[in-house]
Amino acid sequence: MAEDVGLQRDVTVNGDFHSRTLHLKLLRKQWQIIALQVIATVALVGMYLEVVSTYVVGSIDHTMLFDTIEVLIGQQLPIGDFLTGEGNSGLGRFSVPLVLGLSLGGSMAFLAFQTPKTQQRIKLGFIITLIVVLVGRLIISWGFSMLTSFDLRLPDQGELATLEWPLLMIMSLMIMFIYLLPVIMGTRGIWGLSRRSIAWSIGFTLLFLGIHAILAFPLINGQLGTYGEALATVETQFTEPTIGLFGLMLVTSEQFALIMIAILIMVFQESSYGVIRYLEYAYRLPESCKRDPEYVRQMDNVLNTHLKHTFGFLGLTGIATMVALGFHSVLLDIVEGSTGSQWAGQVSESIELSLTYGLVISALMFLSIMALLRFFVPWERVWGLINSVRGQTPMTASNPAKEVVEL
Amino acid sequence: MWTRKASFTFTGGIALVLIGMMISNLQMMILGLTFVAFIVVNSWISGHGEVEVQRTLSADNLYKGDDLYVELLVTNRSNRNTQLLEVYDNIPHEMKLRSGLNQMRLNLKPGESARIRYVLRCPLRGHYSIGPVSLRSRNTFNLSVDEMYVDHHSDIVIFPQIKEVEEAFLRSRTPKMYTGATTLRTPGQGSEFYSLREYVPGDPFKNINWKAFARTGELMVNEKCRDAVTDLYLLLDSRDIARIGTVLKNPLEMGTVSAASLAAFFLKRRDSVALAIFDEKLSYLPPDTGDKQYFKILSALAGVSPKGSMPLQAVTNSLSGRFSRGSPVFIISSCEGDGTVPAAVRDLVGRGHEVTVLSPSSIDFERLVSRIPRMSYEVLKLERQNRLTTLAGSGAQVIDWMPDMDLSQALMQVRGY
Amino acid sequence: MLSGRNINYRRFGLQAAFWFVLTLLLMTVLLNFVNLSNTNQLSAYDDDWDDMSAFRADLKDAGIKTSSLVSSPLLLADIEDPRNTTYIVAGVERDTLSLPQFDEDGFITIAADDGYSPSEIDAIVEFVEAGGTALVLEDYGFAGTIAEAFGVRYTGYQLYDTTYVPELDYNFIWMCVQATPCGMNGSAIDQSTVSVHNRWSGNLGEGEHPCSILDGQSMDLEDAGLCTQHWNAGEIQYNATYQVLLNDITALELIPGVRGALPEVSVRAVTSNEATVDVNGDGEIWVGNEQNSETPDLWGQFNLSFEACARSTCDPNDGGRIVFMADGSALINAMYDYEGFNEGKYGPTNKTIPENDNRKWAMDFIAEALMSTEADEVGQPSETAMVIFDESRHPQNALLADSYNTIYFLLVYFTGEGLAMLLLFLVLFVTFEAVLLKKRDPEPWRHVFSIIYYGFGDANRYTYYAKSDKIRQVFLSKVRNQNGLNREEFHAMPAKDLVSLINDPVLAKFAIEPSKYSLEQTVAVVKRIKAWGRT
Repeated sequence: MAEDVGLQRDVTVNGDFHSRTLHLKLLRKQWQIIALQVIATVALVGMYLEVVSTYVVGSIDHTMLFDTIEVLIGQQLPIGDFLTGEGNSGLGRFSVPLVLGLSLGGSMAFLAFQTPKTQQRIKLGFIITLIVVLVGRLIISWGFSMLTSFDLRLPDQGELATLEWPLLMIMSLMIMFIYLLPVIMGTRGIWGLSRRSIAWSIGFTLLFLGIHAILAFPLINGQLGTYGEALATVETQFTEPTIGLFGLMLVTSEQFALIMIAILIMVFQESSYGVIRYLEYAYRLPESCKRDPEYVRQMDNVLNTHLKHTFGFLGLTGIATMVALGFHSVLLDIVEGSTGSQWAGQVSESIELSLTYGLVISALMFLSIMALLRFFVPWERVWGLINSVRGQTPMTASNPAKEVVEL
Repeated sequence: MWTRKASFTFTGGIALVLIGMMISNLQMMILGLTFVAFIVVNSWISGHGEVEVQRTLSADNLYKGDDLYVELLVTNRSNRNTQLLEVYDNIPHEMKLRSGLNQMRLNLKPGESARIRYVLRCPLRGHYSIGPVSLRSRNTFNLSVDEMYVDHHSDIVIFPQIKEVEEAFLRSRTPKMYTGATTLRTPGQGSEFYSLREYVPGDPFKNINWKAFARTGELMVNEKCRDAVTDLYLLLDSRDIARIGTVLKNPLEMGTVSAASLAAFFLKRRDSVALAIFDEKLSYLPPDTGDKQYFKILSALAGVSPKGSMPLQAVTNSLSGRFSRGSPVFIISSCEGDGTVPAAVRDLVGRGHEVTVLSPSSIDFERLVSRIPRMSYEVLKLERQNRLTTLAGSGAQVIDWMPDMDLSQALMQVRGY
Repeated sequence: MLSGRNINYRRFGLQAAFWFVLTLLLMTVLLNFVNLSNTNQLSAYDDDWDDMSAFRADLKDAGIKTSSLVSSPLLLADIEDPRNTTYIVAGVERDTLSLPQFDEDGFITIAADDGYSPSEIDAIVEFVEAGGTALVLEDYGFAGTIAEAFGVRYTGYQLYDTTYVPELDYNFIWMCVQATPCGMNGSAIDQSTVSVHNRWSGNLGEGEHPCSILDGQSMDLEDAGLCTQHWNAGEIQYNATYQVLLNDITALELIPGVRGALPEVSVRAVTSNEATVDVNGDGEIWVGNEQNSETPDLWGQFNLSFEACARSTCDPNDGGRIVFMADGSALINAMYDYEGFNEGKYGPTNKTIPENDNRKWAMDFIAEALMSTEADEVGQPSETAMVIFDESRHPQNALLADSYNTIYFLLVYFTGEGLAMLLLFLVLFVTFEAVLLKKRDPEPWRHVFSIIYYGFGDANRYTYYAKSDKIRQVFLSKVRNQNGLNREEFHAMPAKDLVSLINDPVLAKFAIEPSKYSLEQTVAVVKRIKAWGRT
């Protein structure tokens, strides 16, 4: 029996085992991990753009805020229009800031991987630069004039005016930062493997949606007067659906945008957290396991499945939501067509259905049916059948050639 | 079973839908619906296919402190992928992972198998069981988790360590030790030369006396004398008081090691060894010789645990009838908390037994775990010395065994007080 | 194993019992609401003689969207264009689910035994105030609370009048929609007593019916739109007389001293002077000069229809209005579409319903409410015109239908009514907390190497071993052992011999004279004892 049990494969005498290992350094460059991170980034950008185009652009976007500020202070803000996207229309206002946000988040992630000492230096350098930009000109001109005139005095009006530019600059940057917070934190979280940053990104987006929802609530919206009118709202009564599957129109384009926001939030969350989860698992493995090809192979399997499921399940979730939202019309047709009774008539015409109530009820009904289907359709067997048709029958366990360890 | 995340997503979804209705906000409703749809879609696939688990051990019995190599072969016997599956081999907490890990996250394709290999160090003697194998299947997004276990156990016995006992010590230092023993001047497997005889097919070659062959031209073999000292009796004190000390250093642990080592030593010399363990009751293994006896003794010692408080005299009284006359008796006991020890020893000596008391110094073991005031310690120590002196006075060989002393070293200091 | 199975049985039994009791409780509550024994009638979505499908068909033909409301009038708050919406309640046949809610004073109330709950009434009032039009057709049912909100009361007792249809029976009564009562001439209405609709005719100087503007204009039937009922031989001939046939009616009265939600309340139709009300409901009329137990019933002129408006013009553009009529069945197929009924379209009949103006009146009511205000669309319904039939209080004949409506009701109630919203919010919060607290993920697996071992000695004895008595005893034992004496010999030994045996003055003193020793002294003594006897 003893001879069946080999040593761990890391126990080699010459020690040069060339296979892949689960060390973070290598694992971070593995294509599945990179792919998941790219998916997460794309989802993040997509989600941001979708939210922005639905709720922000043209109603409360940053260029409008900048315009208002410029009108208030009666001068141009120092930050260049090409950077803020001022002057552009629609989503064009967000293209340059988005790139800026991505690169800022990326560099923050990069910073997170430096040694604590380097990190500290860079942070220090940043703060010093900020201070110099803020008060540098004031100090130089004030100090210089005091030196030349041999006079100890407070800075005069002209010298104080040099503070204006940096203050406005920093304010503009702060505004941009707040607008781009989800993108910056999200990118930092994805590539810097920080759970907290991802939570910030998602939390901020949801918070924005929540606050927007409350402000758009008619009762409160009415109190806001002209400000309230500026808020972009989504109508509760719908037009004809225009987007669907296989020629069957299911949802309106507004609904589709909202579904996309929800799905992209989930794709972003699941892929970014997934990456962190797997890397954490690999990190915690003992050294001998990191080198064990079995662990490497299974990690590959797990990552591949995650990739597949990200597309499969989240795609299905999106489709299920779309079908669920479009289900009430199908339901109506069925009810109306099959029975023709008083009830069918009144249900098909009921005001509840044309309002959101019916939509949600029938959507939940559809989802319940889907959930129940699980008990009637043996998915596991179906899966097995598909696999066996594809020739993946369980053969006798493939016995990987055992590597003899010379001691 | 739903995970916390799934429960949150679901309740959050429903809450968003309802709150969305309250404030007529479609975004909230759709977000909520998507959450619910996410749960629903994911609920379609649950559990895992049939998984077969096989465990192979490098040994079934091993000595305390040795390493055990374990290999777990997990095979997917079903037609579908096992989803994210965590496999965990339950190992006794008394064993330490030296290398590898007793768990793995895997996702096996149909027919695929994975090997989990790890090495355990077993620092404590005893009877152990590795297993069952726990399986936990998770959904990719950690929405559902199902647990089950494969009832697959591997039993293993960890024997006490065997320390080298040098014959020289026992012989030279205790020349009169075996006076009562009858040496059997009969041919047999032994160490001392008995006579020369003609070769018979079947005799091992190593016994051939080549010099005699050269001289006589005939194959002659050495016959050796069976040097059994009749029976040797080991009395091991496993009373509750024997637990004092650390987990690896306490009178009982040292006692089992010494009993095992002595048994190994004497059995190797083809003596018969008997073992009596007394705790709350008396367990007695009658004298016998050979590997089987060796295994029996080790197994018995592996299972010893401190309990009860049986006085030594009760042991000797009930066993003295079975002791063969004049045979040596080893008493392995701290001699603490038992007033009958001097009487029992005197009794045994009186019956003509060669009694050796191997006494781990329990007050010094106690010192390893408790802060004993200096003076109390000294007085306790004095009292113990008095006790040992009494025993030596009754005619027994007494060994005061300190915690940091090797067995062979201890045996060397056999002396009468 | 056996006990494990027992526990399983017990658990299963307990769960079964729990669900049974819960279902029982729920059924008890729901059975109040779900009443399957009632026959369904007065529905715009059924085509029996006592339903209103013909009216709905006319609306659809006129290009007006019809909708049903199956849950609760609370939804009226979500209507986006109340101005072009008409809400029709015809016969409230059952009570609402009695759920707790805020009343107008802000207190929590559960009682709502009059068909509509306070918050629903509020929703209707708000709808009307926001410019909506409502029509309440009711007799003995549960719509009373709506009327009361506008300062009008349904008496709820059957009314008899001389203007009934003799060919049928006294339950069929003519109502002339005019300020003065009309009378009978033999078996028909005396045409000399017939007048015109007070407001629509323009007699009051304002509130003229919009179709009257088209009066005399010639147009095709298709172009007549909402004034089709006045189209005759190629032109609109507006006529403001309405002889509406009612069946089994009650009376309406103004509640004295109560000011309703809308300021302008006017009577639109009355009975003759000889009408009677069967107050005790015995089917016989006993009237006297005063109402007492002998003569409990009433006699005289009663009101049959009220109209409450935001402005005296009753112009829908200026605000909402609501019309009450004392009969729930005024628009049923048998009377609204009497021609079809007489032809047997709604099933075989042996009755012949006389010609009436029910359709004309109803369509004129709709025309006024929903006609487009665009100059080029005169006569046509406005683009967003919608008629909502309240079907929420008509019992359904299928359990599924009733459950469906109930679910909607509960949903609308919990997301529309203040107290229920609060309650739901609380429930959601508690659920979230519960999930947060109770739902735990399985712990991650981790092998913990641990050797649990308790090998401590008896620490209590340490102080005992530091006492000089104990030390003395140990010392004496040592002396005895060292000299190979047994206990008896040692005890018998005289003190002098012992002193010489010890051969150390300090220790000898310690052994023989039990006196107090300080700590330092004890330590010194122990040291000496240790060294004693080594040489």
